[in-house]
Amino acid sequence: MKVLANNHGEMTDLELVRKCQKGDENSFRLLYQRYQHKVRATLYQLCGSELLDDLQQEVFLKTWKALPKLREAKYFSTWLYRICWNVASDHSLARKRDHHRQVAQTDLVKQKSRNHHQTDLLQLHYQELIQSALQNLNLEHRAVVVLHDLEDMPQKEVAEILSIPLGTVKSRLFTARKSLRQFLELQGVNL
Amino acid sequence: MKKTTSNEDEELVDFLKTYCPTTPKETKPCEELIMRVIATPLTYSSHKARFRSSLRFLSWGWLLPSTLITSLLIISAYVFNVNQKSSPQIATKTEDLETFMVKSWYGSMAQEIEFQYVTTVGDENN
Repeated sequence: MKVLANNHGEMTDLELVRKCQKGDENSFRLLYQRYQHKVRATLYQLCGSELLDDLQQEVFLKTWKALPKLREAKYFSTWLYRICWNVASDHSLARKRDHHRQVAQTDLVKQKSRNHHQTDLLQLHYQELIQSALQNLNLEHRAVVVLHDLEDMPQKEVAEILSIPLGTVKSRLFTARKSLRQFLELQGVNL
Repeated sequence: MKKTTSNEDEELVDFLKTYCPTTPKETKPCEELIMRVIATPLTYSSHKARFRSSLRFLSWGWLLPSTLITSLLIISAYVFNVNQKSSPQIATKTEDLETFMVKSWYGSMAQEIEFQYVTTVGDENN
């Protein structure tokens, strides 16, 4: 199933989306392969490692179901990130209801970090710090940092994905960065 | 408000990017699972769910027209009833009508004669 015609690889998102809208599953597989790393990374930064596989699948299944309704096919990536954001928001709401899970998740991250003996300890320490610093932010502020600073998206696109004004993106980014800096300084990281 | 492109911000963003936690690898074959779900034709349960939802739609879909029809019937019946009451009744049997008119005419004449009789007798007595 992974073997596809060569010309599929050169196809633009727009062409692939049009084919998917006609029910072409192979085109959807290509879109999946194109975006799954970014979607997974974003979901991981927003929601952590708990249920990451399930959330990733949920994003792409929702995408496939909603594709026939997508009118502006050229904005596929923005639309995909919006679905990603919606899934992350829903997950966050569900997790708030079950606080014990959150505690278990942070324990799991710490345990995993401890298990990586072979990699650099300092690197692991910083990774853990950033993970904690991001988790310390609320979801709205975290999303702006993840999309803009880590995924290198323009502020305008972030505003479209989160359905908020550009000014709100800027103010959230300012607040989030300030909070991150303070958190890191408290942990002994001087930037 | 500080500008977001300041040196401090750049340093922070660089630090975040450098030490950003690596995304854990998939524990399930997500791609294959998704493609399998997409390729799976509608199962019995999903058919059943669709049938149920269509039934639900039908029941709700019929509610509005049936309410409209019932209310229209009630209103038209009311209007018809009001019209029936207010419209003048025309006699169909002309013979009966003539008899009634003659009777009432003579009746009134008799009352008048009686009255005149009473008044004239009274005057004569005076």
